[in-house]
Amino acid sequence: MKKYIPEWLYLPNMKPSDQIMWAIIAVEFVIGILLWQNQTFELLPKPLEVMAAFPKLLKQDLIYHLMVSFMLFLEALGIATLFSLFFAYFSRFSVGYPIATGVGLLRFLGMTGLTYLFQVTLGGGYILKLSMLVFGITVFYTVGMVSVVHDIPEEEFDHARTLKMGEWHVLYEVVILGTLDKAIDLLRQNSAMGWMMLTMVEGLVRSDGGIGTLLLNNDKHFDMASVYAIQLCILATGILIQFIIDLLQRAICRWEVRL
Amino acid sequence: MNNPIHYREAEPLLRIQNVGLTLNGQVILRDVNAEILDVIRDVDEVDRVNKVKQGQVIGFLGRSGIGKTQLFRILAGLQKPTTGQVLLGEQGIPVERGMVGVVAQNYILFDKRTILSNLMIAATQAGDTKQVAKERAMTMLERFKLTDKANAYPKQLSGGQRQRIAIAQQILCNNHYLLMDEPFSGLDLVMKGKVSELIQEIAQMDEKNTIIVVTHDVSEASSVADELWLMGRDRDSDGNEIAGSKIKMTYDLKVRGLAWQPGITLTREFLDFTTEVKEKFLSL
Repeated sequence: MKKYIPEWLYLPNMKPSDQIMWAIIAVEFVIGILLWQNQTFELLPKPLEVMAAFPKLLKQDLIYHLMVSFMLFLEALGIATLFSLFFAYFSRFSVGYPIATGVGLLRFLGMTGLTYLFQVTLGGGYILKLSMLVFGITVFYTVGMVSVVHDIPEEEFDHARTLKMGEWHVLYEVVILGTLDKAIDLLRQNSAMGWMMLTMVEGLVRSDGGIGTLLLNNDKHFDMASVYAIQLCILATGILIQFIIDLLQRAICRWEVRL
Repeated sequence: MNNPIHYREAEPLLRIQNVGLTLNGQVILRDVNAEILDVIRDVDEVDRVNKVKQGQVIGFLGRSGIGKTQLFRILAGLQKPTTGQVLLGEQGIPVERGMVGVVAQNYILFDKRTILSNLMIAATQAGDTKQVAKERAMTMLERFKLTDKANAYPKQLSGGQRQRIAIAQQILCNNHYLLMDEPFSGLDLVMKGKVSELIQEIAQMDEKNTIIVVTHDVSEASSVADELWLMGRDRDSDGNEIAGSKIKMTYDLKVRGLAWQPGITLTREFLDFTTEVKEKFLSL
């Protein structure tokens, strides 16, 4: 019997061809949609109901809200990246390590008290949303990058030193340039974290709009079809962000290409 | 016995004087002393016309955990000894990092740079202008037959190619001293032969070139070296090891007529010699 069933169907660690892999994805996607279509939970709208909500959302300026969120997210991601990389590279200094580790530990803090702190020190509105997002991304990104820059094998530092490099040059060559690919990889992971936080942060200040605001407004009116349509938009934008960072990584990290 | 090739020894190129190392209260090295002299072969024994540029190749042997790596780091100026010093050249300049090239076992390169860039950065570190650095880098690529890899990245090279680039990089940056950590490790017989040839080639690039090959492999070390150093520990009267390793034994292959002779590894004398060294190696 087994000889009629392809091994990739029942054995782990198999590598089917690209065509078969795409076929698997397509079949599983269709099964997912069918399960969704045929589910019996009354509160969960079916796919066609969700699709039908899009024209209504477009009238509610869906694109505008999405752009507002996207721009806020990009700004936060840029600032958080600068902060995180600074803390990570600073951790190679004896005086910087405790600070960078401390920043990473702040990820265990709840947001509730911090909202007030940021509002008092930095201001409300857009700045509050931005600072909350920057904080959220930075604490996680810093943890990952500190780990990366401290996992560099000692031999790599020695290699640079045997080429007459001073410690600042070693920092640039081995730490900054040497971990660039991993920094971009962590950027991708933490961008997902930031994008996930966005709706929560936008709920704090709704006057500027944003996809989070639109989501909460529709949730308030219990329009579940619209809520799930917005969630689909958030998901699609998140995937798009990941795709863009992938492209960025491929463009920059040409050394990863193997013959 | 093979007829030894005529040579004379000139000024010291490297001196290890009473080097000791204690880390976290543990004695790693104790009273390590050794000297490498400039060996000069006046006449090529093959055609008796050309003067041979003959660098020095030292095989540095010791079992695992004996402190080879620490001594290696001290020789490269990457670790300061607790006592003693390592002096380079006739003037006896204390070693500092950057004076001695190091080729690590895993042939470390700057993976984010192209091969040409890896070599150019080494040359610029040695003080060359960008233009000169590029010329020297290209010459080195030609010498190692890797010109077509100039714009490739290290991850695109085979292990053997990577090793040659790692050596080229160190030669471009450091004057005459090269430490090679386990260059034969994990290689098949063909590759071992190629690495031996490469070491000989580097040694003959310049009279002052001095290569120290750190290895467990007695046969391979004997096939390339003109001198062997064996690391070990002293024992007390009860036969217990005393903490701290040192160079316990040296073998001069030149004196025995086992150095610089093509095909020597197939002779009875060479096999007897490696057996003798292996027995000593195990007893230290």
